[in-house]
Amino acid sequence: MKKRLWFIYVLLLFSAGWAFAQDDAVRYLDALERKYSALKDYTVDVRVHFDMEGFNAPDMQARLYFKPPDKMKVESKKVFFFPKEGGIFNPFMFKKEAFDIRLLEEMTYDNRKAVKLKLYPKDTKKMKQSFVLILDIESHQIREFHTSSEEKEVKGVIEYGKFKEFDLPTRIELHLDLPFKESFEMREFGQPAAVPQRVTGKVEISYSNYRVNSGLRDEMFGSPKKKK
Amino acid sequence: MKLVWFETVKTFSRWRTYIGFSVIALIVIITEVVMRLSADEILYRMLRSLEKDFLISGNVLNGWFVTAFIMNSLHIHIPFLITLVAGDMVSSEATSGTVRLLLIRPPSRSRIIAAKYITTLFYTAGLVLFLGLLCILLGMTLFGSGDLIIHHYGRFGIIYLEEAEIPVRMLLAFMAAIWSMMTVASIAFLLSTLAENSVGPIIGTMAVVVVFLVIGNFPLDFFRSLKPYLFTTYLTFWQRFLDDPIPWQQIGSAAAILGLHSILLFLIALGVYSRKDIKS
Amino acid sequence: MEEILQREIVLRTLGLSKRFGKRWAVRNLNLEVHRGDIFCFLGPNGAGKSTAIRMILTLLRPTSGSIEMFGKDLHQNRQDVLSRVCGIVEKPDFYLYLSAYKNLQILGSMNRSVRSDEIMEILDVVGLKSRAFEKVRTFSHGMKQRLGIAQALLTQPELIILDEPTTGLDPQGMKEIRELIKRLSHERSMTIFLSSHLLSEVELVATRMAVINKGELLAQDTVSELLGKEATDYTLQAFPFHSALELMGSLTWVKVLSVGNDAMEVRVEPGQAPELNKYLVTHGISVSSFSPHRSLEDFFLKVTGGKSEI
Repeated sequence: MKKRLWFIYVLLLFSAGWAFAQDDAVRYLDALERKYSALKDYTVDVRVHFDMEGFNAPDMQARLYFKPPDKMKVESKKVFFFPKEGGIFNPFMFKKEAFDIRLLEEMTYDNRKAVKLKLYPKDTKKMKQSFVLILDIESHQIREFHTSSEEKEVKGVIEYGKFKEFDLPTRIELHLDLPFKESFEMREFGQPAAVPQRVTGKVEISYSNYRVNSGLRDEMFGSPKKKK
Repeated sequence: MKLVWFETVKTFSRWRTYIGFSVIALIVIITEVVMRLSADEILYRMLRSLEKDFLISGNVLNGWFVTAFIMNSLHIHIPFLITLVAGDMVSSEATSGTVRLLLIRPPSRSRIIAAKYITTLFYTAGLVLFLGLLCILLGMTLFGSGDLIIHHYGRFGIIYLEEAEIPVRMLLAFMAAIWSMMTVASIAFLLSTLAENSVGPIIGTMAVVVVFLVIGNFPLDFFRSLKPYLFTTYLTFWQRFLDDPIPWQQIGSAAAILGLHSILLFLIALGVYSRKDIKS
Repeated sequence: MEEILQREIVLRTLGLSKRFGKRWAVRNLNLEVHRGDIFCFLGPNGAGKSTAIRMILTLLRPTSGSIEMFGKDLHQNRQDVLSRVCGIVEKPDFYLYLSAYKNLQILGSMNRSVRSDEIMEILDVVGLKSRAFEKVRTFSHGMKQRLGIAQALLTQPELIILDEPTTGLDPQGMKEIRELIKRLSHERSMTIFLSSHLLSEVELVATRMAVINKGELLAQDTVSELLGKEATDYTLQAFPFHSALELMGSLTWVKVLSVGNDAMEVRVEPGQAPELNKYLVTHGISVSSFSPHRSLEDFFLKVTGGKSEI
């Protein structure tokens, strides 16, 4: 009987601790959401530098349009490749309702107080990958993120600048490890069909000329593409 | 030079010469129109893997891409069109009997055969350039211009070439393609000096090209070890001009190997023809 | 004879031989063609005429022997020598997809620069001016043969070599070519070397001849010399017949072989046939027919051992 009580006591203690920690983690995401709640849209010029194996490309420039929760558009006179995962700063994607959140660690990041959170998507059909975020809890900035699924892994480090009242990225460094299945009909005669391979490397994105809350209309983002 | 001009007049007065041009025009026009009509599907197939992880904008399916695509698809077929004329260049004179009028003239056989060879090379260059110009002009009209995104040769990956540097690279690529096709033309030309009709050289040349390609691409170590010694391995060296950075050393050695083949084949043709008894 | 010997030799073959495998197509051929000759190279089919001509025109490499033209070795002075020679080997084949004019322009310009008016003039000579710009594909065999001669003439050669120039032509075409050959010889002072297996042709045009069989030369000389070694028989029709018969009885160099109702066979000493004709006419005899027997045929049959094709 004593043993059973002891067990219940320990269980209650851990449950309470876990509930407290979960509540704490949600608080950090809440703060993040509140911080950017006044951000209605932004336009920014981006310059992308690829340093990826098997992807030889010069630096690319484009103008990027973003409107919450997830509307985005890229305008470029030239062909432009932009990493979807982490390239577009979207603080609204980490809604507390969409994730089970775990506080992994309280830490110091650049001499500032920070936490490491792990976010598990609740709807795994809609979102397959989980996230690890390092949040600066003094300024409520995502400083690092790490997302991984069965097939891909993306890690990002973000540097910020102040634009109007918002902290927005001036530089994001992405480390990618993505699957790549060759689909170009450009093979040599007799060459065996390409097997799935991976794209790994670094992408550095510089952001400049922010225009915030300029009233971007929904129509400019067009209708979503039909998948074939 | 006068002999070359006469050979050119003769070559371009025959309808056979225009088969190659017509076939190329037909293929390019059909391909580009179909590509234009199926642009969405092509883009989807091209980019489906990349679009999962990258936002892609700009004119990817542009005239340059279409040109590279068609060039890549046709590098097996163009040799056949070249042999139609190159394989007939000398043998047709035997078939028609005009060789008896031609070789009793003061110019030596070496000069006559050299003039024919130069004309063959002109035709080869003309055919490849025609393909290139038609692809680019029609491609630009139907698809517009843009940066070139293509498969990185020989290993996994893609390559991105900025629009500004594509014309020069394309020009070099077409020059290289001409150089490659000259080797094929040289084989057909040599066989043409040996034969008295044009069917043999045409079939013979295609047989050589196909057999060498098959041997070079057979997935067995023995055949793979032979690959460096087969001229067909180097036929696609034009693609290197679309690599980044341009592998000049590889290009140089491929060009040298093919060039040596062409020279050797011509010298054999010259030797054979200079000593050949005209019995027909 | 002396005059001929003094004339320049434009073509000489010395021990010319060609072997195909084990078979000698031409063996030890020694020919001499003098300037101004209409030299006929006579022999049955397969005798080696075409092979010899192909060697002379550099289409075949001799197995042994040499060829001299205009006093120069052919193979050492090919360009120089061939610029003074032209020919047709077997049938004249042209670029069928080109016009007569274009063919001549191309072929002629390989020897020297040819002007447009020269081409038209030559086409006029061979009667093809009106068809100048039609594709050769539409030409008959006779027209191609004439065009062949035109291409030879265009180069203004000193020596024309024709291999069986009348083969495949109808009688009218053959006549036209023969007349053209004679005209070229007389009007343009060209030396003509032609091969034939047709005896009648040789009789009608040749001044000198060589006979070849099985690759070997059997005889070579002027036609009159070669025929002069043999008695020459004629059929004569004359009026009054009996007067003619009496007159000939008084001539020592004429022997009457047989007498028919209105014609007689006579044998005349070599070279005296024109004299006999003249004699009869001056004595008031009307000669209605004075035709030689086919003496060349007889001669040819004799030297070739009976292998004649006529």
